[in-house]
Amino acid sequence: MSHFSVSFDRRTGTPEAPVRVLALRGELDAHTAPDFEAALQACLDDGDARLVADGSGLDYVSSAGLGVFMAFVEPARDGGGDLKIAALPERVFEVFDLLGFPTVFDMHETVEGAVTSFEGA
Amino acid sequence: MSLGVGAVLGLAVVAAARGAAVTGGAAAGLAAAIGLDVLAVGAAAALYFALAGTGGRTGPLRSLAVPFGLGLGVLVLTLAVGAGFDGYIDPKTGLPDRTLTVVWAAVLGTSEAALGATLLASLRPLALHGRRRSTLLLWATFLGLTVLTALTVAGRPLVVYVPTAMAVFGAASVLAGVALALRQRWISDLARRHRVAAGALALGLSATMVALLYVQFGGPGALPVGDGTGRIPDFPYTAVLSRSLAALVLSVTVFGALYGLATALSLLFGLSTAAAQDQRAGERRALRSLADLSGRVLDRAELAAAIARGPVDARLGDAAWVALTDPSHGNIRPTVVAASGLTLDAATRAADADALYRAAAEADGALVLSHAEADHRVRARPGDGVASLVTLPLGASSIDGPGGLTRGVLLVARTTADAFEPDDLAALETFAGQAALSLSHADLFADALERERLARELSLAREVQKRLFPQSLPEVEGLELAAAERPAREVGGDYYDVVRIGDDCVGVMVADVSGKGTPAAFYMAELKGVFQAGSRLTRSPGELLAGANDALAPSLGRGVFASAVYAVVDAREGTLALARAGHTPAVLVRDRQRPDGGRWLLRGDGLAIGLDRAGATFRKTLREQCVKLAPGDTLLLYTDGLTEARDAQGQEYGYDRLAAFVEQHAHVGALDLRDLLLAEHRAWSGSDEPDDDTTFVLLRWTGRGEPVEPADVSDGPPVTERAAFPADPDLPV
Repeated sequence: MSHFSVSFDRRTGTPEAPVRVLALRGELDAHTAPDFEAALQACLDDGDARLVADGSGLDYVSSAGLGVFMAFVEPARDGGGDLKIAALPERVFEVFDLLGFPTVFDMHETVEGAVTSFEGA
Repeated sequence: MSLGVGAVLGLAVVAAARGAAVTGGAAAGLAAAIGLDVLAVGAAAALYFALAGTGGRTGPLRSLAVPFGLGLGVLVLTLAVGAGFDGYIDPKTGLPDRTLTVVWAAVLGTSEAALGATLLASLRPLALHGRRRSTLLLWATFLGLTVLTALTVAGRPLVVYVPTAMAVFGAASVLAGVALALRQRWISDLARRHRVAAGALALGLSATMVALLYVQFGGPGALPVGDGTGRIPDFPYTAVLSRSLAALVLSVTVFGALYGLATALSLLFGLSTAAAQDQRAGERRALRSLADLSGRVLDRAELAAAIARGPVDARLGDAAWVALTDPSHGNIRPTVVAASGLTLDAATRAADADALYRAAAEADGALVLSHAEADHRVRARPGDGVASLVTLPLGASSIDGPGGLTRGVLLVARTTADAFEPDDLAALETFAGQAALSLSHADLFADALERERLARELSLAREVQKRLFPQSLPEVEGLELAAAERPAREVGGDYYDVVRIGDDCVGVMVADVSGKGTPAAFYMAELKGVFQAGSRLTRSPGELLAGANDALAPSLGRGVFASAVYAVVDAREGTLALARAGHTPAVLVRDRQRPDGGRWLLRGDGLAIGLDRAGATFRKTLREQCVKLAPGDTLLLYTDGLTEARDAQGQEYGYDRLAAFVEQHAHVGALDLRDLLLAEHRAWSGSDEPDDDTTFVLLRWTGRGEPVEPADVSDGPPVTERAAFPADPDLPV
């Protein structure tokens, strides 16, 4: 059973420079990637470009899921923010690592670390 | 209300004039007489309009009871006057015997006018039930003929016979009344428990009207001419007030009698249910034709046309049109795709289908606009034929997914306002439900067709893709090569290629384009071009991959990437140079009998192609690995379908198991090892159909039987940094 959810109710950072945390849960694959895409697009549409994907609840990520990160990192950066990836479980991190994501993306071990890293920017 | 007051004042004026004529002893002149009659008729008409305007919607029982009650009252009053007063008409002058006769005539005439107006205003909602255009026309005709009949005797003295014209118009008026009396559709809406009461009231009304007629014409309530024995018959008191008014009331009274009788008979013999059954039969026909269609016609457009025809054919509406969404083509707003009873253009212009669609979705059911022309969402003007409009959602929102939006709406219009009765709506809702089901079948069928088309397209793409894979592997002395590819679907994103470089070298590439299907096959074809050209330009795997990133990154779609590993093996020198662009690590095994034997995963740094589109980071990150081979060394390049294969418990095959398997069986040679590995993969996943594309290339260097010097790889390309095997710290030993 493939199940996946994105919730982005958390908003931290300062009121002038909010950071939105998207909590990912379950399996991010070709079937569920559009949900994630829609959530990211909604953030950008709201004018929120400082985004943290909290991957602590991810069980699996496929190439389609990885593609969503790739597709949204540039718009986020163009919007003066970034799409950071945080708290990936080891097995999922391995997939990101193999493809070289840590080189291109700002990846953090904890969500707090990812949020804090925005403050210097 | 002022209309009613005016009417009474008008009648008072007429009565005063009649009284004055009696006092003066001479009838009014012809012009004045005609004027008075017209005034009286006008007053009665005004009374009718005043009552019809205030009526609103009343129940059928009330519609029958009110004129019945009032009729009884007038009957009693007429009898009372007839019994207690002995006035008469002078046959010579045609004038009443005294002023008091005129007073009584005025009282009775006004009551009769009120009764007639009330009767018509009360029966109107019943006769006009359903508001068919033809019924409205018939009603207007009846009223017109009645007035005309009345006006034919305007200004005539009481003692002169009626003109032939009155008989003609009167007969026509009665005919129209009969036709109206036969319209008893409202009875089918009547609750069963009200039927007996309605029958009794209708019979009572009819009897009262007949009694009124009898009493006034020659009966105990009539006004005699002369001493009552003359050749000229007695006539109603009302005629003293106005002969035209009397004629008017006569027609209306006859109509009341007829209508009451027809209603009573309908209820008694179930005539109305027969009519209702005709209606039901029409609905059934429409539904059946739709059911037939949904079995045969699975084309959305044809089905939409049938859905639009249904309500018109079943006479549930004068025009109907269908507006559908088409999410598969990105159309979430409904557009009018079929219309019946008006053109597609007119239907599109008639109403804001999108707004109505959303309103109906919100209401979660039919949306009825009784006065459509007054609604802001309806653009039709009066006269365009959209006076009432029902919007029916096609499909229940609960089963049609999120947002409560359905496939579209069926809009049904009538040319008259307030025209949809509860039974019409029930039938339309049933019809719309069936239509939604048919549409859903059609969509499913279209999906199936689309899938079949895609399957054909994919199998074609598969043919093309097959030709992208090498048709044969190069034969190089000292090298054994074997390759396998098992796509999970018809067209996968995996790619491999082997190319001979000079006499002694081969270049081997294994790549995996993210995504599947036709787009992946396109990227694969592009990759093949880059590989075929690049392998001839450079012997450096790192440089080739960097070139591939430069060439492919701009054309890869948003979020699409490819991982690749490229190895160049020199069979003469016994060297391996390898670079990895985000791909699974290559497996290298060496005979454990040798002191330097073991198994390794070659995982040099490198980004997947497409991840860094500018290219600078890609080049900076890429690390090329160079290995001095020993005879018997076996290299495996593969895609993640091999390592990510899951067994029944969901456990992944993994790198360690793969490397161990290759090490254990490497001695059998590349070709046999390929077959063993395929069998192992099948056994692990427990299926002949892999979950993911699985592709691998095996390369075994047997050496050329002579000692070899370490390869000179110092002359590397600027894009890469070389790490000498086995000093790479990443390698597990």
